[in-house]
Amino acid sequence: MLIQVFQQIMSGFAIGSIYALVALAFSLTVKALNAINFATGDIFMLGSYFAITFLLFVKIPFWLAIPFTIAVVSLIGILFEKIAYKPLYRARLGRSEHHIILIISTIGTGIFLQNAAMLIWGPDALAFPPLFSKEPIKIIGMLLPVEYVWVIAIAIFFMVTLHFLLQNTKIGKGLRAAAQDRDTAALMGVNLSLADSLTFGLSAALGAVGGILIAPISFAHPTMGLSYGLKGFTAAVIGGLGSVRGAIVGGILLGILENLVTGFISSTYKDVVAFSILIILLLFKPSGLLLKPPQQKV
Amino acid sequence: MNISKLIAAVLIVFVILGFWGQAFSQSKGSIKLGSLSALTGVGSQMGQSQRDALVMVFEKINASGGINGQKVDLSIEDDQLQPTVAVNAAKKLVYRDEVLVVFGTPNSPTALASLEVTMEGKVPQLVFGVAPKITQMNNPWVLRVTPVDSILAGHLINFAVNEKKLQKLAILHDSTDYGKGGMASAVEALSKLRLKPVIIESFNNDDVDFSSQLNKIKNSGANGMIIWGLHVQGAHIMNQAKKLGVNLPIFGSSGILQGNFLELAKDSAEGCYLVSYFSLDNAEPRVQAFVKDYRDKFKYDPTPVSGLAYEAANLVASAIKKVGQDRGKIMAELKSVRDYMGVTGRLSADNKGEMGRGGIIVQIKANKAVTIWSSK
Repeated sequence: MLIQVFQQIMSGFAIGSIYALVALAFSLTVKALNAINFATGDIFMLGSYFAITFLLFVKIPFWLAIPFTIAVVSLIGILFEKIAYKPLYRARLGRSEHHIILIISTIGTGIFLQNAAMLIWGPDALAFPPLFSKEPIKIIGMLLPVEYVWVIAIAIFFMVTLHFLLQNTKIGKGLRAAAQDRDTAALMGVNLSLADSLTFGLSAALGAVGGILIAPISFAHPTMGLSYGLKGFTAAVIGGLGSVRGAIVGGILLGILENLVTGFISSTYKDVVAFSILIILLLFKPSGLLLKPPQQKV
Repeated sequence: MNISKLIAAVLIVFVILGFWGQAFSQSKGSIKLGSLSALTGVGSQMGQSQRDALVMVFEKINASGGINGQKVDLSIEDDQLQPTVAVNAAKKLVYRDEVLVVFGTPNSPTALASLEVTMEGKVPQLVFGVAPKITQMNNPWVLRVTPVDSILAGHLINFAVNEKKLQKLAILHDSTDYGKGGMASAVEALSKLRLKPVIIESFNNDDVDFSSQLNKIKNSGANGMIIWGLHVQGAHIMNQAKKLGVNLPIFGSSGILQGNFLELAKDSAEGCYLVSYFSLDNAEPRVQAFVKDYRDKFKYDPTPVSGLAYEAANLVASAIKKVGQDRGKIMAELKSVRDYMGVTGRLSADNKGEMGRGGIIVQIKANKAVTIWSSK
């Protein structure tokens, strides 16, 4: 029984760390630009497809496919910011309909990416090449597929890297400054246009990592972004939208919770429980688990 | 002769010619039948294979002198996979072409829409869709040639219990109507054998992690696993079962052997059993003869829908041969079909119009589906 609980927690941890990466992708743009990017799920989908493409058609090793995929998808993220976001942001700055226009633009981009993927890779699901051993790893009586261990390790590596990047580098400090107060940051010499592009690039990179990691567990298909986008967003809200640590905690918590519900109740109630918690949290602690409620300045 | 007399004379000539023409066409006569299916657009492959199988059967009949000396005239309509178009196309067949029988459609929503038209026009319609509702509308003019899921689930359970001697079966199904219906049918088939599933687990179609369900099944003491779901999820489950060391024999629904299943599951599918009703490698001579004729004529492999349409065309032809061109009698004749052995297995009509009783079991060997059992 105890082993079964641990087993559920471990596979929940693996899926949860993928949710956490998507949640981070959401949180970064929210924190920096106060904008929810609804194409995040589709950026995630691109991560899966490019990883499979690099492995299957370009035939490069897995460790090399990760940076290549991240590079390509980040570029797409930056391009997206330049074409579909910045012009609208500039044109509508300060107007009341500002946010709705930006959100619709991100939804449109998502639809565009889905259909582009369908044209390029076809509507059928695409399988990841069998890179990992089919023999599961045994840890204290638990059986864990090898790729789950890899997923957890790689996800943690990228989360630590992100933390280091934001806290200890000049670029990271600039990004955080721009997020805190755009005008002051600009006066202090932060290039806002570059900061916005970098934020989108970084967000896309995190989504891509999530997509790369889900590929060996799942198959890639053009509409896969929808459910992961929703789960990632839920995780971000649970943890506190805009908080880096909150996104990680929220994602892993959601993954574990889902697996425990599936394991001990039924998979039918998996989403019911996840979204009930979201609603309860929004009612009683709308700022999320890890964010302090916003202080109204007088 | 004034102008009104001239007009009257011309009219009389036309009326006489008209009667004569009609009399001529009736004496010489042709048997009018209709095909309704999607021929254009996404998902038209099924509809095209229906049309091709019908054309094949009736061309052969016409070449050998027709039915009772009368040629078959097949009207072909395209429903574009849209219920509204299907209704109009069915109206054309029923009222303009005045067909005796409508074949189609292989797609349930368009079948349900067109059935309203044929029921009103009192025209027998032979449907290839699988939705349970098709035969549950108190429609005396509908027949379904396809073996439905409850029939296929029965075959799968019988195969697992009687042929493979496995009595402790686990059921894993998706949470859609398809999966739940299959699960209920499997449970019913088991209870007829005085058995119960040892565990029933479900999953959602967007799930990627099935380890909870698979571990529960592994610990339940089951010695076989029924999966009722679609091809992507089927491949997923088989991949993960292998990785989690769940090495139970797998018995899968007909929804699994679709699309690029073999490509997605690769060697995880090796050895699993899947239920279906039509397979190209079925060694039955009648199936092989049909497959050969079809390939020679159309240069592509017949699909399950081709098999169903072939079945339906042959049944209708022999019914007309026996009772003539009377819709009511044709319907009664088709409903009296018992134990007809066709390319999709046994057909026996009941009073609701359900005909398909067949089923085969294929096993995946070296990433290919091989027929290893077929129902009697």
